[in-house]
Amino acid sequence: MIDSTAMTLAVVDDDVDVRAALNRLLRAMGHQVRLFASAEEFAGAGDGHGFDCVILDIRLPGLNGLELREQMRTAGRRLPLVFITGDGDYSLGDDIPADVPTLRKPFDEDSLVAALSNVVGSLK
Amino acid sequence: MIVGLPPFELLGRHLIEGSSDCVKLVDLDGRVVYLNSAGIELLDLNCTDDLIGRVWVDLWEGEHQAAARAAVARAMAGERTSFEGFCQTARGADKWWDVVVTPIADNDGTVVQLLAISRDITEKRQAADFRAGQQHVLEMIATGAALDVILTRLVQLVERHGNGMWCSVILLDEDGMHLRRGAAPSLPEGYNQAIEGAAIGPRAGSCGTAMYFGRTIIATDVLVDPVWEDYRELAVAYGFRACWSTPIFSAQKRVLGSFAMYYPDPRPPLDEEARLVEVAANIAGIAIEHHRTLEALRRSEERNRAILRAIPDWMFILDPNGVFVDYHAKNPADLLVPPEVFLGKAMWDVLPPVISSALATAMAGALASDEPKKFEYSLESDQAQHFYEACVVRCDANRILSIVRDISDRKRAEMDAHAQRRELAHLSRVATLGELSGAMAHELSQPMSAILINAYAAVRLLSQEPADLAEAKAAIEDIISNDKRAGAVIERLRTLLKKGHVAFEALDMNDVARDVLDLTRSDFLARRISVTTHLAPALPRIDGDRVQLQQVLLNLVLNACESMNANDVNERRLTVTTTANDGFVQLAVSDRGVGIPEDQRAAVFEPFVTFREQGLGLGLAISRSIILTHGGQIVAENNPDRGATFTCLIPMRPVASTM
Repeated sequence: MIDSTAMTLAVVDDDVDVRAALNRLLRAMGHQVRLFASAEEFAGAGDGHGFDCVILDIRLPGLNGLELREQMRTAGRRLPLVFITGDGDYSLGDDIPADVPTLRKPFDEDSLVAALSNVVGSLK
Repeated sequence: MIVGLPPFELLGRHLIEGSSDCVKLVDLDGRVVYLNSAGIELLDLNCTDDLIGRVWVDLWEGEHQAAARAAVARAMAGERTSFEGFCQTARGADKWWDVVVTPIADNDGTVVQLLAISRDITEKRQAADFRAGQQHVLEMIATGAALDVILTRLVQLVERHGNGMWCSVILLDEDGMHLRRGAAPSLPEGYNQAIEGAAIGPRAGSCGTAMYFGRTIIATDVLVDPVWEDYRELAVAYGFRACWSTPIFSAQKRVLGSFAMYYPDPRPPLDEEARLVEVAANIAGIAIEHHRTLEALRRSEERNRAILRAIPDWMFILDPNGVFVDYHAKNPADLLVPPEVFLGKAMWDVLPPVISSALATAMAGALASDEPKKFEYSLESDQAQHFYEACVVRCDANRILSIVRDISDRKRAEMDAHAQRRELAHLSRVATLGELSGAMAHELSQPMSAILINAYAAVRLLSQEPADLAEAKAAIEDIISNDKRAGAVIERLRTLLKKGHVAFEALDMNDVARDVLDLTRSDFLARRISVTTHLAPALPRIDGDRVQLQQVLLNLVLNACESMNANDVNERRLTVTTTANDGFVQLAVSDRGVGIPEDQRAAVFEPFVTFREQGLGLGLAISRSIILTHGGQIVAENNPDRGATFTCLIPMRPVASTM
């Protein structure tokens, strides 16, 4: 396998099928995974989970992915993020910060692995 | 033997003085040398000296003077002669005279003087003139001149024979309650307009009151007469002081109008004026009644023409077994087949099966219920398609009448309109979908992602040592279900893009609502709009075209979203409600947006009226036309607090036909 490091990952996506698929793939890669259906659910889960990275959908009901990031930065939480988005041409894309890796759905496995190792590696 | 007579000369003097005619003696120079006392009166003189010494012929003017001169010349030559002439009196009164000029000779037979006897024939002349005028008016009636022209002529005739007065004919409306303009050429237009349409009544001026009571009303002074109370100022403003009016009756004594005379001074009518107004009212009555008769005749002719036009093209009589017994054709040449082809034959042998079975159903219905049954059908002939409408009624237990009419023209126009509407609806759907394309991409990207991720996972799970077959199977099962999910999105798109024919089916409006809301879910997310649905359980079905109704709802939903662009995020709320009552299924889309400008509420459903930044402004117009073809209606209202609600009402599917 490409990665030898097992990580603890959070997946925030409102689409139950995408959530289930990511859960399956990331676990097959050897990671620990927790799933959240919304930004609020993730924020409500509190601080102490020690996620290595959050795979965060941008378009979410209620608080969206970008706003969640802002909220975390304001609160002083600096978690590595990977954005995933299914938006087409009209989107929140213009607002995506350049320093956050962003995967456009559907994305392939290599991009996901690369994005994860990038953010996690850059932290270490 | 005559005894005790006065001497002849004395007798003559008595006769001349006692005469009611104007008697003059004229000398050989043509000057008046004698005038009797009746002459003083007739010529409005003060005394005989006013005339004595004047040349008689000079009293006349123009053609009348020529006649007088000729009469004098002949009398001078010894001939008794007479003429009729016109000459005003000293006070300017118009008078007609019948004049006899007789020569007076001495014993030698030499003319020494002329005797001129003038008889006042003014009244006779006027009566003859009036009779001629009256005759002319009657001729106008007989030759069908326009009523207002006839009445105007009548009014002018009476005015010419009156004494400085104005006349008018006012008609009574066929409602029997209001005044209508007849003819009043000499009355001021402002006055005519002021009384037009006024109601008749017990105090409605001379005319309105005369019509109300059906008798002559004489107001010798409008300033004091109570019937003029309400019109006094008007009368004074136009300078009327006296007015009498006589109702105009029909032969059946129904009031048709009134004939009135107006005077500038307070005064009662003279006897001759009262007679004149009676005569005029009679003539006006004839004119109006004749006009009304012609009018009624014209209307009935029009009705008859309309009936003729409405007569169906063909009528067929059938017996209960469907055998053609008889027929009638407006234009026999239009029959597609000659009568001998179908008379005496059963419809099954003559008509195509589709038509004969429709006819059989209609006949059974008509026989059972006594109600006419209608159906439409089409036939090919001369390479053209003809459309017909048949109405089937029962004549008696053994005969059925089928009334058939060619509706090809109407049908073709309808089909053209339909095709145009369909084309427009398709364009508008494509435009709407264009607006939605971003949301569509998002909607498809979700299952596509899940498929790809699951596929990678399956590869990993199968490559593991040992392979996790159970989880890999689950991954592949998820691939299948997500592929179907993507397929469903594509299918929805395809239906909306399809240029389909309208297909009515039994529909649950809740399904329509769910379809559309599924399609727009990601659009709501992008726009941060929260959607609430209140879908009534067990909603009765409606007859409708799924795609068209989806289009309506899609359009209403997108409009609602658009209207809330400027709202705070917590005020971007959309509610979709379905309810059922009073035989209608109701679908309401309610937003918290800017609402409809009050002055444009009536126009929102007009084509090319738009409140949105994008869009052709056709969406609501097409939505309305779609809802109308569903036999329903669409209503736009502003909410009491904020935003607008668009409600579609569509009739429920009849319970009997749900099977």
